Amino acid sequence: MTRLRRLKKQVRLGRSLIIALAVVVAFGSAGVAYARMQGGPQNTGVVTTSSCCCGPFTWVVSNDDGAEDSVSPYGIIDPGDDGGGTNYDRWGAQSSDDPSEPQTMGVACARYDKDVARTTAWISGESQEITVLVENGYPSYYPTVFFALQCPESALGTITGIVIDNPCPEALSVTTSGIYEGQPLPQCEEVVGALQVHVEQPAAQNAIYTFRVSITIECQPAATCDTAFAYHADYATCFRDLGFSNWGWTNGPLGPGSYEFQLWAGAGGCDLSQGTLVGSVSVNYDGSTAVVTYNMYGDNYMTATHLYVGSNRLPRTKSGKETVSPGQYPYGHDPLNNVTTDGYTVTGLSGDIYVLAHAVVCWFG
Amino acid sequence: MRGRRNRFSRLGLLSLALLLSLCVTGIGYAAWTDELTIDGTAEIGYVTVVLNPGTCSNPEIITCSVPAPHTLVVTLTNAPPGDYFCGFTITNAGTIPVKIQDIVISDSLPDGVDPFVSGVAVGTQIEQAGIDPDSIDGTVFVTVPAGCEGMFSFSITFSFVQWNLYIE
Repeated sequence: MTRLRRLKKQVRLGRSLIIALAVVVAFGSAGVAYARMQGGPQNTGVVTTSSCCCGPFTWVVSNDDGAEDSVSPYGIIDPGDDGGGTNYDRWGAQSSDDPSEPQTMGVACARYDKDVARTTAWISGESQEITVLVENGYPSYYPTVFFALQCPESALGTITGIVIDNPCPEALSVTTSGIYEGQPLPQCEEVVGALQVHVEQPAAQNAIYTFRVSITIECQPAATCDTAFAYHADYATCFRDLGFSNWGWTNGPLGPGSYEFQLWAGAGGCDLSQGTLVGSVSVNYDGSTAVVTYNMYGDNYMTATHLYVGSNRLPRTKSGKETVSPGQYPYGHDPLNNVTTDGYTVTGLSGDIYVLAHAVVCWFG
Repeated sequence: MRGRRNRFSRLGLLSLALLLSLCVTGIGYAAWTDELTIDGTAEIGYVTVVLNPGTCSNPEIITCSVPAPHTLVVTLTNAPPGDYFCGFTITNAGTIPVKIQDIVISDSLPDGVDPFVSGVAVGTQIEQAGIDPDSIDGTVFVTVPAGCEGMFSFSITFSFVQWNLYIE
């Protein structure tokens, strides 16, 4: 009877496990499917999500719409697009003599002595889309469209894909410049790109050709950087309790042994509830040498570290006054190149020691 | 038995943790991937050139017609020695300016007959309809020498290209 009950329990547990795994797969798939719907790298549709991370187009300029557009801080983007037509002024002031070569931003380009074709461009789709219209194009017509995209303050991104969908390459050449795959998009910094369209000889008369350029951007939130100090619940004394206004801790006295400290950032007033646990600091002290190692959690990284290890509770300035200012600590690695680990070996120690470990840490989220 | 139950519980917890992490990964991926698009449409213009015959100096002797696009055929019948001519008009009905790239006169002519075209030439530009000049008049002159009084004809074929593709 007992064995039968055990067997039933095992079967029940096994079934629960299979159900749990099925739910895992289902939810995981749902998550990734949701991601795709929001505009993943393989998305071929126009993204209209408002949860955009980076890259809303900030402006767009055509070099054959009859207006020399000035954009701060670049000045005139498309000199020569003056609305004039030397001959055959089909479009009047709405277009200029036709460009016959790609234009570089801010530099006039060669143009025909005719105003036959026109190119207009505008931002649409909640700044996620640019529409370009070439009218009365002809072989050798070569308009350029300049555009800019920008990440907001809260994010930085990378262009991970530029896909040009041009079903009729024999009739149209479509190229981009100024942007490239792998290009970083720092927050608040505009990146200017250009699109060149060249009508080729085989282009059929009266035909309408369409193309699409998809720019995929992967973003991550911008890192927050702050000062961080090592803390051990059993050994830490807040600087404020020692008469200083700054926050941070001295840890000690520590006899020979191994210690693991938490590294807290932004814990003003030594209030851990205000701070962020960003990493750890380990100290191995054998009575004469202390090996101190900083380690970051997750994607966190350090741009500087400062360390004091000594028999006094705090380091002292040259004048012999106690200090908690990291710049006054006897050891420092400043700056560091966004490292996730850092270390010091301090020799010549004896007796109990105190440790002040400081770092400038950046973290996401 | 208790150990085995614990193992199952641990597996269940692991599964749940995996579930949560996968969901979070998926939604995180959604929030931090974006796509911008540039949609383009290129509408191509067209070149349409029409050649029309005009009046001739002696219609009972010299006539002209356009049996094929861009080809003018001049026919002389029992023409006494003398000078004759026919007019013609080239009109650009397209949306792109054109230039005359070539004018070819057929070579099956009696000896001494050497027609020439006036008013238009290789390189002449004709603007699009509505823009002056979108139409140009030309004339074919032909001199019939003595001994060529029979019936003969010749053709003049014009080639046009959009203005910026003209090759000098």
